[in-house]
Amino acid sequence: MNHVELEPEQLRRVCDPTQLNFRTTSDLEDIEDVVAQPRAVEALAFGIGVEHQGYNIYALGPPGIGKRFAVERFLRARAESRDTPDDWCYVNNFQEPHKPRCIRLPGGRGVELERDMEQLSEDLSAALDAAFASDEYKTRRHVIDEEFGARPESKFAELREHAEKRGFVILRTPVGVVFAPRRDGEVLPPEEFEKIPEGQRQEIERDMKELQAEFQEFVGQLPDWERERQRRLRQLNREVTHNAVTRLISELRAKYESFSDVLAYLDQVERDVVDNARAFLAAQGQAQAHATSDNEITEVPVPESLKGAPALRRYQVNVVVANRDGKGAPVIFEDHPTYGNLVGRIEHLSQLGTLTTDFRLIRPGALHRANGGYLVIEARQLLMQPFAYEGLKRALQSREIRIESLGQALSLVATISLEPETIPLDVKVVLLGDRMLYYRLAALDPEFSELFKVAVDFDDEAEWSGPMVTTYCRTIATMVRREDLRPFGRDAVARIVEECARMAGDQRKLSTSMSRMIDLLREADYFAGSAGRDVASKDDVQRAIEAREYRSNRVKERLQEQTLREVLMIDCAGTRVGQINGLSVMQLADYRFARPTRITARVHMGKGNVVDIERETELGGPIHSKGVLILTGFLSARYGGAKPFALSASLVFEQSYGGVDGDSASSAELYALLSAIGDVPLRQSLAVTGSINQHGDVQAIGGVNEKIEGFFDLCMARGLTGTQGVLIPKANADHLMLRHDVIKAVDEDSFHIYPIEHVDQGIELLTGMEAGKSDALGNFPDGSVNAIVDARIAAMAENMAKIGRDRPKADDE
Amino acid sequence: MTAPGDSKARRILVALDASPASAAACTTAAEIAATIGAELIGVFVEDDLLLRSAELPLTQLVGSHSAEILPFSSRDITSQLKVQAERARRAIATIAGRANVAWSFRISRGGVSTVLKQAAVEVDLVSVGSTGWSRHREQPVGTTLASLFGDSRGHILVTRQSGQHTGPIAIVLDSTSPTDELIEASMAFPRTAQSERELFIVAHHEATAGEVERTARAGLAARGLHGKAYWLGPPQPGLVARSSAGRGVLIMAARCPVVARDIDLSRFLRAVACPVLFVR
Repeated sequence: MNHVELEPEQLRRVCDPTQLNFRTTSDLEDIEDVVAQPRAVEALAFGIGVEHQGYNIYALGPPGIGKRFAVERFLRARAESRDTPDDWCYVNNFQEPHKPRCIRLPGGRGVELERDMEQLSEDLSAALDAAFASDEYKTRRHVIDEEFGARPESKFAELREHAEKRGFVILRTPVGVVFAPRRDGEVLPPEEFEKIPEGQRQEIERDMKELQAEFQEFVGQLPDWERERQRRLRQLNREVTHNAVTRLISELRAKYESFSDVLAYLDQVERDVVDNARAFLAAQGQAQAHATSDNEITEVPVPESLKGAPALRRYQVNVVVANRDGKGAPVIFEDHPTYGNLVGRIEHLSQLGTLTTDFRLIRPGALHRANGGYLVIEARQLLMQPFAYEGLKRALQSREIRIESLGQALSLVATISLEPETIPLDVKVVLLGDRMLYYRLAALDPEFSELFKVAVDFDDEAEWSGPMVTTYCRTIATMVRREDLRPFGRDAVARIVEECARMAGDQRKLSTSMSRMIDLLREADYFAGSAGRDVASKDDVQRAIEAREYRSNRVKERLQEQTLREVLMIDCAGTRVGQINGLSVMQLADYRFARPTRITARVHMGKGNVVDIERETELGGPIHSKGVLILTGFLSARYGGAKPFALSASLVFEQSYGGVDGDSASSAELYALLSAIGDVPLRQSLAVTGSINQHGDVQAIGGVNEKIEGFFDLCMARGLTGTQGVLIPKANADHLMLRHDVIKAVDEDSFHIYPIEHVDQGIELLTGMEAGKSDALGNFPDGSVNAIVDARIAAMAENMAKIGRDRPKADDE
Repeated sequence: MTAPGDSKARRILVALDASPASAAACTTAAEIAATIGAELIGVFVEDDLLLRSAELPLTQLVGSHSAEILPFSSRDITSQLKVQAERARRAIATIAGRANVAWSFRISRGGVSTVLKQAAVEVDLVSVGSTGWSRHREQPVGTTLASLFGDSRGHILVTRQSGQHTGPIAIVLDSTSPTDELIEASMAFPRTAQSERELFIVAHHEATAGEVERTARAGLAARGLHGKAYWLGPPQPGLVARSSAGRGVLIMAARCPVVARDIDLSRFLRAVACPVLFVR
């Protein structure tokens, strides 16, 4: 019964500082490449290179692995070589103001157009003001006024003359005109009128009615004359305006002659200015008034561009995307991807309690800014924002950006708002997220796979090889410089490399978690500074690791304290039947530690079922239950054979009040069961981890380092006896990156780590007895654990059969 | 009305009929009153011809806008005049209050020309509006104005209805004009902040015009003003009236050859585009 034990050098892979050919990180050059991610790099290059629709990218991997850094590096490199996208501007739609039009111009020209239109407004204002203030205009207008003013005066004078000739005087009252018979320039007194013969009076009456009819006809003509006057004035105004406008706009036409959209817009501006010359003319005075009153009324800061007279605002240009020529394609990171921040929004201004808007209040979203380039979004952030994911998909599917409020998009509001013209979209979107999110999106959203065809899977581990260590050293050096830290000595770098392996939980792998690495560098730098060192050393790194552990391990210490006070019952010495030390891992935030747990088993005669108390109380997860069923299968197959398996057993994690999951305790549970069945005591100085299959093979588990260290810490606290140790699956031997104090104890033969392949090896270690191998007939050697267990099961089966035989007799009686 | 700083109490008569034209006349008068420290006297005349005509059995009222035949009786016309008088009173109260000048208002019954002529005797300036048939044009107060020209001892200000007259002050001069008085009168307008005066010189000969200009420039310079001169040739009411377009006020002598004849005055006032102050 010689059992293999792991040697100290097998418990940790060491990075030998003497093999590193530098003194400090200052000796190393920066590394600009994305390290240790060949698959992701290839996928990124592919995803960025393919221009077709739907080839958007989802970069998946755990947080802190460097996805964002890698994506940004690739995108920026690619973006530099691409053309600068066009500018996009929104301008007033003079026919339908609620549907602002967009204009596309080469990069940089949008801002130029904005300035040109501002200048045009100022120039037009001044030119029109001068034109309308000129003596020429005033005189021409006066002539029109005079002409149309003279017409009614002249007509009325005729009427007056006609009335006078017929013996009437025209008198004006506040509301109209009265024709009265006169004598000697005065109104005929009533008493005189009474004296006039009837015939003559009828004649006067007839004349008066004729005059009234004449006057009525005259009054009826007044509106026609007024309309005609207005028409002539409008014509004059148009003529004056047209002369001033055409000259100014023709300069812009020449400047933008190759841009048909701009030319069409300028045509509209010209027509609008001519049509609204008077409003435009008044703008100068209003501009100043509005510049101050806007703020006073709204009590909110109003951008400079929104100030100015309303008549002039309509000619402004709202540049929603402005690119500088030659800078390449944009790479936009949208860290707050709300619906509005993505597709743009329409803002409103409060004026006297009313919300108003126009094309100048259209605000671009990330899609606008990234149009012609790349947009990077954190997938989780995107999905957390209401309707943002839907908005993004809609834009990608339709390949255009439609700015509409959520209320409009969901048909929740029916108020009139702006409907800006859509802008064609040509963007590659990169989502950054974890794997679970990617797989769930792919499973649950059929459109996701159509829109994000390229998965860039970032590996969280890299092979620990010589070249990779060199790469890591340069990466560390780069980070040190980028973070402005003191240089790290090669012993410190070697320690960090080892810690990367510990993080990976594998002697052959290095963790690619760059954020953890940077944190460790910063913290070690802090301790180096505290110690007054110019170069961070291995001790500083070690101290940083221990300090981090100390900051996080309050719960672990409290649990150990309870164990030492025997509130939590764990034995580290002696033997016990049906009782074993299992090891469970707990994760609190980013800190993981192991807690020894007592597992007990009891057996009695029964129908062959193993009661998993954790499952029965709904504290056990499905994988744990699976492990229990597997060990039941193993027991039945090995010891049942041709005889009935006439026992029942119960298994429990003692003093465990939280959930238990995973099958890493299944080997320990099996050992406890065998002990209980065979009444064979187990060594309590050993702890066990490992899952089993139905053949009794011990399989790898996770958290092996934490589990060993967890039991070691307890034993250490109680005093190492030299018999204590941990049984681990042999398959986990490569995963060991144990602490130095554990390795030291193993080296001093104070603590032992046993790699186990099969449960028979484990039971021998735990019982100190031979496990026993069955012969051809299925019999185990006498005195072996298996023989004892088999015999006990056989005895139970016999008892069960006997009870079965006896019961009918009793019934007969 | 010789100097804005003169402390002697002054009176400005405003003929009111509640029309926009008379309101405009009242506003211009109030500006002057504020500048020279004068009192506004508003007069509303109840035309006895109207009242008498209402007693005739045959007379009918035709609406000046609707052209409809409207009820017309002594009671109707009395009510209308009462309403109009109240509107006139409110107008002068508002305008004078805004300009912070003293004011009074009275209603007189009689012939319009007779009443105004009598009232004009006691004041330094008579401000009259003008009204007319066109909705944008006004008719000068023909006979009333003509009689005021004959009998009033003060200046006469005729204000048109439409627009704000914010342009420069123009002075119409000829070889017979009391240049100093005209320039001094221009100081009564609140636009005296503008130091420039436009000089519309009417003269048959350029040499005469030059002489008038030199005299005027000397008068302006004495008051710290300067001028821009235009020679308009011989006196032509139409041309002078058209030249008034864009001006804030036109100041001219009541005996200016431009308005020497009644027909000239009528033609001139029909065409002029800004208030005109006739200086006596």
